[in-house]
Amino acid sequence: MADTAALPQGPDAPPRAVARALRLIALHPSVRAVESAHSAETGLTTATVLIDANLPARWRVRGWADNGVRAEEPVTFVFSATYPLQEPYVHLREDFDRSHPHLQPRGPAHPPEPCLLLGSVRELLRSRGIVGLVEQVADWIERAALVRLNDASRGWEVTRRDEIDDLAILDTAWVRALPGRDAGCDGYIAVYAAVSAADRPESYRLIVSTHRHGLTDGDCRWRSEANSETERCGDALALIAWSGRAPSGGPFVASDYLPESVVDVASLHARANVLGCGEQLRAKLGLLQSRLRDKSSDVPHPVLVILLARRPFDVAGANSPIEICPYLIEVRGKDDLGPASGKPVRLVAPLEQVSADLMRLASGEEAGAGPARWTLLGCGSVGSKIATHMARSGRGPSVLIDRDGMRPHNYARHALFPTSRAEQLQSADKAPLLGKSLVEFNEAIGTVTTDIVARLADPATAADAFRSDAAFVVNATGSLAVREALCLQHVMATRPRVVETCLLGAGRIAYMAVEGPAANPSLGDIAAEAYRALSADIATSTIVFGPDAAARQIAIGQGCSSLTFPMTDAHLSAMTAPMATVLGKLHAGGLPTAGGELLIGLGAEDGLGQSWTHAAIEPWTVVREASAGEPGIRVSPRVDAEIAREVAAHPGSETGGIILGRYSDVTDSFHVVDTLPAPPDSRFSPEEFVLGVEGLPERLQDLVERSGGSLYPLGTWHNHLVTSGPSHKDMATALRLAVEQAFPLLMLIHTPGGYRFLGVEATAGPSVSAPSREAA
Amino acid sequence: MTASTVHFRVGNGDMALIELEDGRTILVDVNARQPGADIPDVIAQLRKRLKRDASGRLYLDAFLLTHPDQDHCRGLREHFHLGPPETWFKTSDKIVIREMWSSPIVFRRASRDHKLCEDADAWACEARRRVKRFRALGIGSDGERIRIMGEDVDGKTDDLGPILVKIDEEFSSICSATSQFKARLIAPMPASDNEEDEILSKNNSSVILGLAIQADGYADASRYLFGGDAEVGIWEQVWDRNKERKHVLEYDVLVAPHHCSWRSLSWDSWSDYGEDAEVSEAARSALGQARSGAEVIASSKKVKDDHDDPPCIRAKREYEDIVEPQKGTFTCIADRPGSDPYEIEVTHAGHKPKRPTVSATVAASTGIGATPLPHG
Repeated sequence: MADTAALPQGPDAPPRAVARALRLIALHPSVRAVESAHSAETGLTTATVLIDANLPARWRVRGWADNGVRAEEPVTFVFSATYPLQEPYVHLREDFDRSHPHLQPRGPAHPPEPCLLLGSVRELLRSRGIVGLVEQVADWIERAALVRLNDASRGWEVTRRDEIDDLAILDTAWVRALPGRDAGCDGYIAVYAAVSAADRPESYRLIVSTHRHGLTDGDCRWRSEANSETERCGDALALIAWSGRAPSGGPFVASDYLPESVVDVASLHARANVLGCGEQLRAKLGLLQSRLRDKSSDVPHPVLVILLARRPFDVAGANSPIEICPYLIEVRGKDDLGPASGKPVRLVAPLEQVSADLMRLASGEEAGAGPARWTLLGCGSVGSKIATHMARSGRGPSVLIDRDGMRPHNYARHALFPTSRAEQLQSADKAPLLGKSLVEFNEAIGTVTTDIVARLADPATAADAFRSDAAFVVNATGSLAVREALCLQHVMATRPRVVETCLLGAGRIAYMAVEGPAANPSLGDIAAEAYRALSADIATSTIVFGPDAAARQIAIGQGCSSLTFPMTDAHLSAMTAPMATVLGKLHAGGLPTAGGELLIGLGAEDGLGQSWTHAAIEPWTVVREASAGEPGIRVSPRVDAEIAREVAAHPGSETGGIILGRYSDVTDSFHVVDTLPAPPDSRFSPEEFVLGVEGLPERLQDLVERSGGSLYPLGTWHNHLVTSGPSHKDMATALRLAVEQAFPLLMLIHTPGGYRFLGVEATAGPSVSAPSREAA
Repeated sequence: MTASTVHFRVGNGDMALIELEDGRTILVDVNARQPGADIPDVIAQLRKRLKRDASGRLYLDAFLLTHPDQDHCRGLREHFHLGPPETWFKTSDKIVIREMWSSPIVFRRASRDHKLCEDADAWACEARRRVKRFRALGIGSDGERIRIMGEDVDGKTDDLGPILVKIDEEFSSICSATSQFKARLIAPMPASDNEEDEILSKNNSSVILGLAIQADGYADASRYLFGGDAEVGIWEQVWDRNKERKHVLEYDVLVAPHHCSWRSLSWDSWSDYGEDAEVSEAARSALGQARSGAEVIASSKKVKDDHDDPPCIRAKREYEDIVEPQKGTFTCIADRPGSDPYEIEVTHAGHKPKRPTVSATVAASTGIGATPLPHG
């Protein structure tokens, strides 16, 4: 075997992979010497690697750092037969200072083990090889020498509990708030599950509640059950102990770093003494011991003991000086829990329970910000995805509103998973179902099953349809009726601002509208702007309004209702996720303070990517608000400017054109979003403007077709040279047009004193403006 | 950030960047030769370490030119912005010097026989511009600032008040703001006109600066001594002046004067006298106040056992003798592998070389291509 000629052979020689590792270790510039021995019996190769700690000059001269790290540190690498798939076991000399904060908490029975990196050593070995591992060890030693144990600027280094299998899940903020002026120890109710697996010992998982455990005989009755051969669960006791005042009168502070040395009940008592809560813990463990005196059990029951150590400054990564140190005692009855007891104690790793703060941290954002409350309207596929994304980043909704029950086909794209058959038999509504799944993110989540359109239609019930403290409402219903209902005058006056999210054109287009302050621009205004933009681009126009879309029975502007628009969950998620991203930013930074926003995403035909446009929408000109019997008139600032431009271009003469947009019969309002210029055969004079006809029918036809009928002529505009209302001539023309129109006709008159208007409907008399809300 | 010093590979020349804990940067000299096979692009290495200001300009907080010789200022015009800050423009993207630290010799050289190289001339010109501006308008903003290191003859510097650093004076501010160091001006000493011609050559006009760098809350974490090209006569004077307070000459890191030249330690020429050359005890004492674990750095070519000077093998032996009782070290920048500059970190327990790290590319290292490979 020529390829291995250089490597040692024979039973006493290490395996080739280990021999290669030893050769590479020796080549590392920080390695001064390597000595190794292989045991044929165990298959283990033990190498002692002398690593240069690169001490600063003054320490290098004397040979050690202030904290005892030597100029050349011996580090032991133990390779098993499974190397290189499994990483070598790396440990330090026995007398390495165990109070060092970056050691694995293995207990005094094990040699000190450096905590080399936050991730997995095994993965490091795979990605960077043995050289990468040595590099990490050399780096650890170098930094270890320089660690100054009491450094307020870096935070108190907590005792590491990274690779411990026993876990306690708790609300760390609540736990840290427990200590008061006096020392104490209280019991809290916890639940546990103990799981055993073939390749590792049984491990515990406990969830600590904020409910008190009285340590009465009744409380101490064990309730547990075996779920399976490998899992059992039940109630548990969590004892939390903290220190109080020092003799000096100030708070007792545990300012010394100590290695983790708790192995049994005796050393746990000793540790509690050092942390200033020994007496309190002793009393409670004594009480517990008396409760257990007459009990006996075949299976062990966990008792969680959490010592709270008050440090001289904030713990690294927390805004509190309280370090949480959990331990676990297994009791079976007649247990000795006294200060001399050799009963074993296990180390437990504390984990933060699911909370908005934790989600924000894990999402790479600051924890602790007071998140704004918001309401989700519509818990279908788009709504549930948005709610989930937001909740997972600590920004979940506070109230969920939906009208419908969950149907089997909904699971094709809904964020929720199908429940058991039995549960499916009991028809459940979407809002509470989604609320149940999000409750662990936010316990205070409220759900309402209601037909929001009906509720908003009645001014009596509309007033409290949304919580008054909601920063905004997200309308994810994809329903035109809901949009219109939200734009009712009495609703707009009281509701929070609305953000609308839906998919259009069989899911190819994502639509997101952010209302301006005081609902200006409103959902209706922004929708008109969106239709104008979508119809102007032939590609989007075809997708949203084209014959293909029509064949799928797309109601104009209608978001996707699940049966109408088949698409995959992956596609829906891909289109919805960017909207959740934008919503997260709005939630963090607040809605825009001036005007609204329109975002349109166009999904690629093959599903690989999207392109988004993000436009600011200026507030619209409200010529008149809708009131009983009088239609409202809202004009895009662009139309306003076009009319002003056109008037200025014809000084001393009347001019005019056609106004385009939408009329809502629900809110009885016009949304004027565009104009068409007067055709070439129009006549302009100081006395009158006569709108011509040349080419006009074709142009109107084209416009209506391209917008799928979502935009259409609303009437005409012209100007008066002096500030005056509609003339008799205007009135006659309006009446003529109104007869042809299925909704009221709007005649907009630009005068030096602002807009005048004429609204005429065939069934009713003309409505003439009094001097109205002036608009330029 | 960690305080550090970066010593560039500039052959026989000086170029060191000091990065203080508060992020302030000081460059001591520059020797930017045309990059080539064995000549690293030190300007690229420098630029990588500098920050940009709000206007997008790379900047140094201070630039100390120890003396106006080519091997201490080469590349100044090409790579550094000279002139009022508002004349900086993006296309040339030169480095802005917020505050110049200059020896007073710049006021005099132009009129003397001693010719200045073009870069030195440019430095002198910019220094005079800034001083003139100061005289007219007072202390300027960043890019207009200057400090004169030492008094000139004939009271020419008497009116410089706040921008003048006098001999033996200590200062710890850059650009009018207190920073994380304390510097002491050890030389040049005030010259009298008659001795000027004799010994005040450019080399001997060198600024000698002791610099205590702060780290982790320790004000005197590491003491550096920068000696420019000062020669034996100057070091004898330095000793004479400071022998009663020799602690001011103590150092943890000494950048050996004049690229490890024998002429800083002896009046005898190395090429003429060889091993018979005698060391000046006073100069050796001035350069011999090494602290425990001190390091002497030769910013020079490789020190060979030959008659060349600088660098000189005898000088290296002398420095090794000096640091030996302190268990110190001698480092020639040219002896280090690769082309990266030599980096030193300053900690509260003193200085230490930045640990050479091994990149992940070790796995891809190969012997192929290094030598011809016969195959049978």
